[in-house]
Amino acid sequence: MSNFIIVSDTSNCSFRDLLVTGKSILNSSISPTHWLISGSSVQLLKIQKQRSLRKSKIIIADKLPDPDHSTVVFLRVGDTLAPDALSLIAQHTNLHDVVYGDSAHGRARKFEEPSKARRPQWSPERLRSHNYVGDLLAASQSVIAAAGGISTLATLHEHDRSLRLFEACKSPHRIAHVLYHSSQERMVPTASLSAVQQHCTRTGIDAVCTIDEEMQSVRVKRRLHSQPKISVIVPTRGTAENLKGQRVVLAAHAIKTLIDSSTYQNFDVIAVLDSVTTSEGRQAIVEAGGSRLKIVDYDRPFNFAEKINLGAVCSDADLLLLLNDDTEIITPDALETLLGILEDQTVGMAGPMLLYEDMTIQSAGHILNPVPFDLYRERELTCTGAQHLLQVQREASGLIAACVLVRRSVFDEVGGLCTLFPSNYNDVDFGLKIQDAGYRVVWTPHAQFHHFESKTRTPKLQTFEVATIGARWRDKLEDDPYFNPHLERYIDIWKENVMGQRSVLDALGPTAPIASK
Amino acid sequence: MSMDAEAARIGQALDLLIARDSEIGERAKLRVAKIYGPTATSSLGTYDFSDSFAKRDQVSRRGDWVHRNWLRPIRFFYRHIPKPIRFAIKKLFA
Repeated sequence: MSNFIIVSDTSNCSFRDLLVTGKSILNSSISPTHWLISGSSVQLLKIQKQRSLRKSKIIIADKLPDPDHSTVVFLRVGDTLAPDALSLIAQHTNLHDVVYGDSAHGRARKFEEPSKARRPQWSPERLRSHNYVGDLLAASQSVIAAAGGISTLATLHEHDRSLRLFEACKSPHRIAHVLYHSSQERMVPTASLSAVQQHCTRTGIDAVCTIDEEMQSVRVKRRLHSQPKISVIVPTRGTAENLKGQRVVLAAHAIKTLIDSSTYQNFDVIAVLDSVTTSEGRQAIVEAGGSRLKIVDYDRPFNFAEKINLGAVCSDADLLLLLNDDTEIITPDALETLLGILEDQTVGMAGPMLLYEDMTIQSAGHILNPVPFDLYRERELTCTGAQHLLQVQREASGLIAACVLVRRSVFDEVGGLCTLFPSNYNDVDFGLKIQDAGYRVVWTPHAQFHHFESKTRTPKLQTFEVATIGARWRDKLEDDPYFNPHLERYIDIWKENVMGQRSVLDALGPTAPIASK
Repeated sequence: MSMDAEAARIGQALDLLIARDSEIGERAKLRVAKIYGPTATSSLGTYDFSDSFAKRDQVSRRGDWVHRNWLRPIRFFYRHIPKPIRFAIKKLFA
């Protein structure tokens, strides 16, 4: 069984808070060997005199005489350690060198259960934005030593501490159980700009970091070291529709707005045209694309995946932007933002926030629970998401193929989009293949596109597509790492499972499952 | 490059993508079969979201015990006792 050392920093804390934490340590199912208290020698002396703690075998000190093989647990003063937290952590310390978990917050209503902050699995991109892992972190002594030692780490801002620990570790892990009860009502993560700037310096990330003080999230915008050519692949049948009061050929509109509005200009456009495309539609696309345009004719029965693959093999660029014809760029630097994400060679695919015409959310990445949903679909753009999920760049299990930037080498390595999914789930499968190949898939709110998909469109899910996605990825669908097993399944938001208090309509989910078209 | 040669190159590149995808797909199917048993990868329709749609079940179960007739007087009594006691009971049984 593991030995534990609890570390707490008493700076700006009352003795009463220290006592609360002390009592919870005494109630723990596994008793730690040490409780190291830094920050105030007065508080240390007072707590050492506490009768209940004196009677226990826990050594209360300000530093560890000699580092051993114990697991170090950082616990904020005032927080309450869950009785089974250390035993849960002990089950994972053999395989993982840093562990974090869920937390309970506040006693907001007198007779109501505290709210719980449920956390996703290890998400390095998100950790750069804010300290989503919470305040309790357990780490092995080797990681602690590599990250700067107990005394240094104890006094750091929690975001700084987390970044340093995760830089030094090899196999971080989330425990999907409440490990501590936070004294803070605030459930949203905190962030430190200087911590992220230092992290970028240490890890060689060349980026401009800015903080949104209100949202407490840091944006890491990587500098581009080159201006690689992008092939924008637009599969279309030349459909004309009313957009913003004007009748336009959708593909022509998407191409024209991209050329006119994007601040990144090193791209060509490959339009994959169905044989049913009208001559007017074709003409509009040719005029919109100009010299950048290459038209590829597609004369087979509709298969979205095959059309994308066809466009990709006709391209000579190192990067592919898969773009639906019913889209429009919103943020002019969207391509630079997506390219910046792909500067990290471990990222295989990056995607933007997609919005409907009325600026409500169309997709903020996929969530698999186990039905693939577009996260927070139809919610207002002002919605920040649970724990500010929608405000930060983060890993996702999948992205809607309506607009994604993917590395060409990765596209080829995973065999492009699977043609067994002519309409639906080809993007879900694609995202899972990319992750299976060892790359990360990153979604960002800092790049935005319109996706004029009809809100009322009913996805025509085919039985064979559901069967095929299940046959390939059932285990991933059932256990999305960027989800939490305690959250409500079959809905498109990040919400605690509180079935008994909700209506049937709520329970069955507000939106239909996604279909990628 | 002639049109025929270009068409052949494109056809070959598409075949390569399909072959690579099939390879990954087969590997994924084997992994799923290992976890869930061989039936998981058999004929069409073995996997369906609605089969595991436990919510419907939970929703229908939700009202079952609360609205039983024999509970009515107890519920009536419970609802008319002072609020703090009511919540204390609720918390005790939570």
